[in-house]
Amino acid sequence: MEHIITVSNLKKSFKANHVLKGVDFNIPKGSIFALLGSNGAGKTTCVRILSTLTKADSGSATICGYDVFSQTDDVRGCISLTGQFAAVDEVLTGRENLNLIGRLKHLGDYKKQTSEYLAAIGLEDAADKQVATYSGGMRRRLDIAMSLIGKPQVIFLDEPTTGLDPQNRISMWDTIAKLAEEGTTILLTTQYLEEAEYLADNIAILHNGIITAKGTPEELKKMLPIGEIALEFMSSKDTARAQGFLEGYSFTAGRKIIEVATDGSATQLADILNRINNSGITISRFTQNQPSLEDAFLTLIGEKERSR
Amino acid sequence: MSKALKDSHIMFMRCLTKTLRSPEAVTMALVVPLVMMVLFGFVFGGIADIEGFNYINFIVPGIIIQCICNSSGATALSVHNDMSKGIIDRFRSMQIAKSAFLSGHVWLAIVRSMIICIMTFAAAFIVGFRPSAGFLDWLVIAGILVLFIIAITWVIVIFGLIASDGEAISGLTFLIMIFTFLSSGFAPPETLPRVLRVFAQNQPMTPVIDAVRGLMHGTQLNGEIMLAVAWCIGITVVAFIVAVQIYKNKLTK
Repeated sequence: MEHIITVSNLKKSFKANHVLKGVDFNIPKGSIFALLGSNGAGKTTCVRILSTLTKADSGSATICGYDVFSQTDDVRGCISLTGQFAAVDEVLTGRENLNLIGRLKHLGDYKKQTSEYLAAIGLEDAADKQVATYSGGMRRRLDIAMSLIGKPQVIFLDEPTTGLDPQNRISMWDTIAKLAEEGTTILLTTQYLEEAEYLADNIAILHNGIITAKGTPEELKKMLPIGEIALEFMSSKDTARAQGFLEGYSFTAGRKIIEVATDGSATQLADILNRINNSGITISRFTQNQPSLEDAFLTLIGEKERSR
Repeated sequence: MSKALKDSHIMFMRCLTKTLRSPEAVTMALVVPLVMMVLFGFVFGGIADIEGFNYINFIVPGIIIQCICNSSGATALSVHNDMSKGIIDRFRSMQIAKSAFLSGHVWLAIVRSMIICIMTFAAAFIVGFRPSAGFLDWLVIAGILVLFIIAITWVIVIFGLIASDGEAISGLTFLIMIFTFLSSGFAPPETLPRVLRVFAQNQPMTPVIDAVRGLMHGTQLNGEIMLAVAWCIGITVVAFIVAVQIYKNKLTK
C-alpha cells in the first residue's frame, strides 16, 4: 500500500516536558487517519511538526515523498492545515478570505473556485459580510474551505469539531467524509471516540507521548480481550445465590445484575449459563456487552479504573 | 513578476483592505496632521519667532516626523495581531515566499506614511507655512523623509513582534513620541536643560529635522543631510536584521 505520510520515531520536548517520545505511524493515500488522545497528549504538537510549523528534536517524517524537515517548501505545496483555532481574517469578508488563499496558492481561476466553495459550505448569503459577524460554526466552515481551496493532497484537521454544536458537527463529518471520497488524505486529531470511529479508516491512540495502539476501529475493539456478559435476575436473593456458582470468574454484582468477564469464547459462555441453570435460578434477562471503542480506549490508556 | 514580489503584493493588498475597512483609523490618519498643525501653529505660533523663523515655518519638520511616528503605531498593532492569531500558522504552512508576510506590512506602512507626509504639508500650507525650497531641495527632502519612514517602520515592526499586547505597543509608541519632542523639532536644543540638550543634539531625529528645515528655507547646512541619511540607513539595517531574526525565532519555536 502506498503511504503518503510516514512518521518514524518522532521526538519533541519543550524544555523538560517530553511531549512526543517516539511516535510512529504511516497513512495510506486517500484515507482518513485519526490521531486520538486526551487533552495535552501531544496531538497538536504532532500536527504542527508535520505541517512544518514546529521542528522536531529527532526522528523522521515524509509527506508526498518529501522530507518534512529538509524539504519544507515542497511539503507546504501539498498540504494544508486547519488549526485548532479558526485561522480566518475577521476584518475581511468570507469571499475575501477565500480569494486571499486562492491568490497565495497562485490559482488561475481563484474567483470561480471561491464561489464554488462558498456555495459548498452554505455561506453564499454571508459571503460579502465581514467574518467578525459570523457565528462559530460559519467561521469553522470558512476555515475548512480555506484549507480545501486549491485541492491539496493532504489535509490536517486539528480538532475540527471542537466547539461546534451537534448539528454543525454532523455536517462537518459529512464534509470530511466527502473529501476522502475525492481522494484527499486526511489526518485529523480528536478527543472524541465516536468521531474517530465514525470517520477514520485508521486510528492511532496517542498517550503520554507514544502511540499506545493503532489499527482500524474494528481491530482496536478486538484488542480488548474481555467479552462481558450481564445476567439479570428476578430478585436480589437470586442475585446473591447466583454469585456462589460463579467461582473462577471475575464479576461485579449489583442488586439484580451480575456482570461477568469472559474471554469471549462460547465455551465459557455455555459454562456460566449451565452453572446458573443447573442451580435452578431463573435468569430473567441475558445480554452480551460488546466492547465499545471507548472501553478499548480507556483500557489502552490505563484510565479505566479512574473513570469508574 | 517573481514569486516573492507577487506574494508580497498580495499581502500588501490584504493589509491595505484591512486598513481601509477601519474608517476611524483612516480619518485619524488624515485629521491628526491638520489638528497638530493648527494646534501648534496657532497656539504657540504667536509667542515668538525662533532663530529668525516664523514659528510655523520652524515646526513643520517636527510635526511631519511626529505624524509619521504617530501613524506607524498602527503597523505595530497589525503585525502583533497577525502574529498572535491562527492566521500566521496558515500562512506559514503554505508555500508562500518567506519575506511576503513582513514586507506586506512594511510596504503598507511606507505608503501610508508618505500619504500622511503629503497631508501634513497640505495642512501646513493652510495655516501659513511658506517655504522657499526649490525643486531639487524638495527632491532631497522627499528622499530624506522616505529614508526616515523606512527606518521608523522597521523599528515599529520590532515593537509589533516583541510586544505582548496592545498596551505594550501604546507604551513603546509613546516612547517614540517623546523622542520627537526631545529633538530640534519644537524648540532649539540649546534652550533645553543640559542632560536633555545632549540627548536632543545627538539623537537621530534632530539631524533629519534640521536637514529638512534647512532645505525648506534655504538656510546654511553643515553636514546635516549626510548625518540624517547615515542615521536612517544605519537604523534601517540594524532594525531590519533584528526584526527578521526575531520573526524567524518566533516561527521556529
